[in-house]
Amino acid sequence: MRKFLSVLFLAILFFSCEEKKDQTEEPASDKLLYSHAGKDYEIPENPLKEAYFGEQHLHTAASMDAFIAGTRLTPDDAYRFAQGEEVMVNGRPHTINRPLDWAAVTDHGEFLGEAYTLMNPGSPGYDSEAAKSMREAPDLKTALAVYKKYVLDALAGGNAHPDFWQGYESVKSQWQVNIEATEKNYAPGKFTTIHAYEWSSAPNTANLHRNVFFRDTNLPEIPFSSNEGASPQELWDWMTTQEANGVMVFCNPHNPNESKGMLFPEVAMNDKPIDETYASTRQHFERNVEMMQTKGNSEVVPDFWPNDEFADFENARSLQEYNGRIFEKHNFIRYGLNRGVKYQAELGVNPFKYGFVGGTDSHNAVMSNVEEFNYVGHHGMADETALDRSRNEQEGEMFNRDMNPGGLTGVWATSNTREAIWDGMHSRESFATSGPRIKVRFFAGNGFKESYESYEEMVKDGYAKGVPMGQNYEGREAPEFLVWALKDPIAPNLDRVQIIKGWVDADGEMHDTIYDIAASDNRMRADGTVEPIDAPVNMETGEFNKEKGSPEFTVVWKDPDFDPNQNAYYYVRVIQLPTARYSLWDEIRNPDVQYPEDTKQVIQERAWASPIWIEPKN
Amino acid sequence: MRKFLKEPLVHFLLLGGLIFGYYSLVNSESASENTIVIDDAEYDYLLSLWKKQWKRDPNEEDIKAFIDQYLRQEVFYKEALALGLDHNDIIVKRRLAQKMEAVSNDLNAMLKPPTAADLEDFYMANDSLFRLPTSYTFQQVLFTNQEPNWQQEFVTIQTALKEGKEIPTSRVLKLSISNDWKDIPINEINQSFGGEFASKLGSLPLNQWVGPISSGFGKHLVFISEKNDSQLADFERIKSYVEKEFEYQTELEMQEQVFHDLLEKYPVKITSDKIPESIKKSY
Repeated sequence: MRKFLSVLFLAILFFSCEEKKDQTEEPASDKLLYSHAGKDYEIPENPLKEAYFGEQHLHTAASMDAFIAGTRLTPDDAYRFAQGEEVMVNGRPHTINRPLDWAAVTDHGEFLGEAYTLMNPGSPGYDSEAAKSMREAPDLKTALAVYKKYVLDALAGGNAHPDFWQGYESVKSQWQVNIEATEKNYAPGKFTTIHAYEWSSAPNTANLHRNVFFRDTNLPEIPFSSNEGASPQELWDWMTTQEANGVMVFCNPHNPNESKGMLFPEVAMNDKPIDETYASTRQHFERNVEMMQTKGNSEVVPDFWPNDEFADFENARSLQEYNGRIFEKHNFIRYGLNRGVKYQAELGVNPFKYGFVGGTDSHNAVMSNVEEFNYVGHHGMADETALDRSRNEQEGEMFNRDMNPGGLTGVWATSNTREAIWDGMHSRESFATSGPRIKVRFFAGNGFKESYESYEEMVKDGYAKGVPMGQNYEGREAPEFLVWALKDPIAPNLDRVQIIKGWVDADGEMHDTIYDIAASDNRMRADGTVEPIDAPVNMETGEFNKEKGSPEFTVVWKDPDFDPNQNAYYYVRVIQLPTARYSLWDEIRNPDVQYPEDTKQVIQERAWASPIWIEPKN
Repeated sequence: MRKFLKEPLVHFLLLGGLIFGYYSLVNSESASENTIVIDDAEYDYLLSLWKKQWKRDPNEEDIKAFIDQYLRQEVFYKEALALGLDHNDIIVKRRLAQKMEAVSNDLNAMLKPPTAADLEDFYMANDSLFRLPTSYTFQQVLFTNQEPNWQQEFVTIQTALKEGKEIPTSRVLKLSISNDWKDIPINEINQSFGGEFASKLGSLPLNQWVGPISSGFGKHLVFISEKNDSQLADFERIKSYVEKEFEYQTELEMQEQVFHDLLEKYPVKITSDKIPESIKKSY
């Protein structure tokens, strides 16, 4: 196996050298002259834009919780994994099924200094009792006891750090290691890396975490962690200072499902009602929300959206058993988008104007290891074997079997460079998937054709006569929505395409509804509903149905109830045919492993395209 | 004798002897009377540790703090040794074993770096590690299974293409997939097309429009204009990669060899009946 892999890696090395020559003869794409760190590159440029798939949420051994759980892979290892190289995960060799186009390591800003001390022999504190026992914990039980003794108890006692923390110099040292790994692995045109970290604030265990992304190498000396400020306003204040220094930065919140109603709030953390300043600052810095990751899908849950037939999907329901993180409508993204357009009506600015991204939040340093058949857990010793996944809990969080391999982000960009990927996310021309490499384009405009002779013509028309996902539709006439979706080549065909609309009426009431705008196999009924697809997964082999569904959809759709005076949003959901969940693969491969009855064995993977908003001017 | 000098275990033992010698020399001065000596060498070492992290010179307070910390550790350490607390302590055991293993890893780095000839021999002997995959230059025209009359269209277009006509506009970039692919390795083709597409290419004739070939998207007409068989990558071009592999492989070999050589020094007697025979015999 190792031999085969190194052949692949070699091929990547070799052919990337060849690239310059190839692309000059490729008529469909142009060349871009690009400079980075004093080197010039001639890289492919695609004026139609291409969907680049990558990871925007990942932890390595430089996150102390990951380290204690047994992870020893460094940021450099994580970037190598993302490019297709083999690494050792929990003592076993592992490789991503398909390399990524881009990636960002987002270690916790909070304990970077401790991680440096843990990993660098000879640094002060390395031989402290706490550091030693963290390094040497032989099993999960010991690791958890160590974590409690040295970290949780210290935090509970009002300390921001365990006592072996060596101060800000050690934070700086680890941040520098992360920066160097990110620079070292950047291969413009081939593989993009983005400087980033995670701000992990959790007041009263409500998850308010944000991943922070920098556009270039103009970087802060030290990342701002929740120890320096636990309220989002403090983070934005810091970002404002950074901007004044020329640092280009934005952030993406994640896990609203664990936010106890605090991610999409009525009041700020100082208990003052959300006002125009709050809303515009938030919109300025917060550009996307993470739709899905290993700790659940945050779009909707059936509890509050009983009419959404696809709402029951990787909901991570056992979250509710811990920390009082009970589901409430306020915790889900569709509510957040609704509340956002209502704020737009009230304040004239939308604080929750989010595009979509997906990530893993893996603490194993395995970037976007999202394919169900390739899942080896994301939390070190806690979920490393099929047996652990089937019966253990994730300490203090949820049941392992309720976790999932996580989501993926697609970004539409003209080239695979750091600036282009960052800009694509910043302008919300990004989409999330639950793992597969489904591609989805979404435009709103006027004068689109019923059908297009070619893909090229369709894309050009999309930009010429409309706006792409992530923007406002400015016209007064009812918009036409142009949606294009393409299947993942190694996954089954697509079931259907939906548009989800949310709006606020004249009385200030929030509403949302779902339109099925296209379905495969002539299943669309006269009343606009769709007959469910009958394409079962083979439960013995895990194989999916290869006959049914559609490889592609191109649809132009008009909202029958459009009102130009209503604040509204529209986003796209693409549903794939059913496939085996990792729990089924685990059972097929390990006859001794039996997941509890309540575990899903089959799922319908999907993609979500970022919204387009209607913001009437009064 | 030359061969003897090349044996890893010999290096290992020599190195071990040196380490032991060094420590007994250093310790002999102080251990006799329990004195803890901080001489220039020791101080410089502590100072460099401190500076490594703080990246500045310490002030008096800092010096006092790290000396204090050092003494605290030394005192407890010595007392623990005197009481024999290191014996059969699982963490001490593991740490010492790790140290010993690290010595064997360092051995590899201490041996002479490979010469150009070593690398070339390794490259020739491990040809499968340095092979480039087969690559193809081809054109493709896609028909999806959802097109009602795709078979008929397929034949019509195949005939037209054979007569030298252009690919019809409706099939240019169909499903956004490029029609022209230049010198693409087989693994990338597999990723981009899915299904059996990549594995079928090997059996197709060159310079002819042939098909249908199935992929994850549908059926394809394919025209392969060039096939570059899997070949050994040019040594000069991948030299640094060969070097990396050489180090990796020799390190693995070295670890195994040192372990087995040492195992001979310590006879293993497995008396427990609960261990399967096959495992017992393997030692």
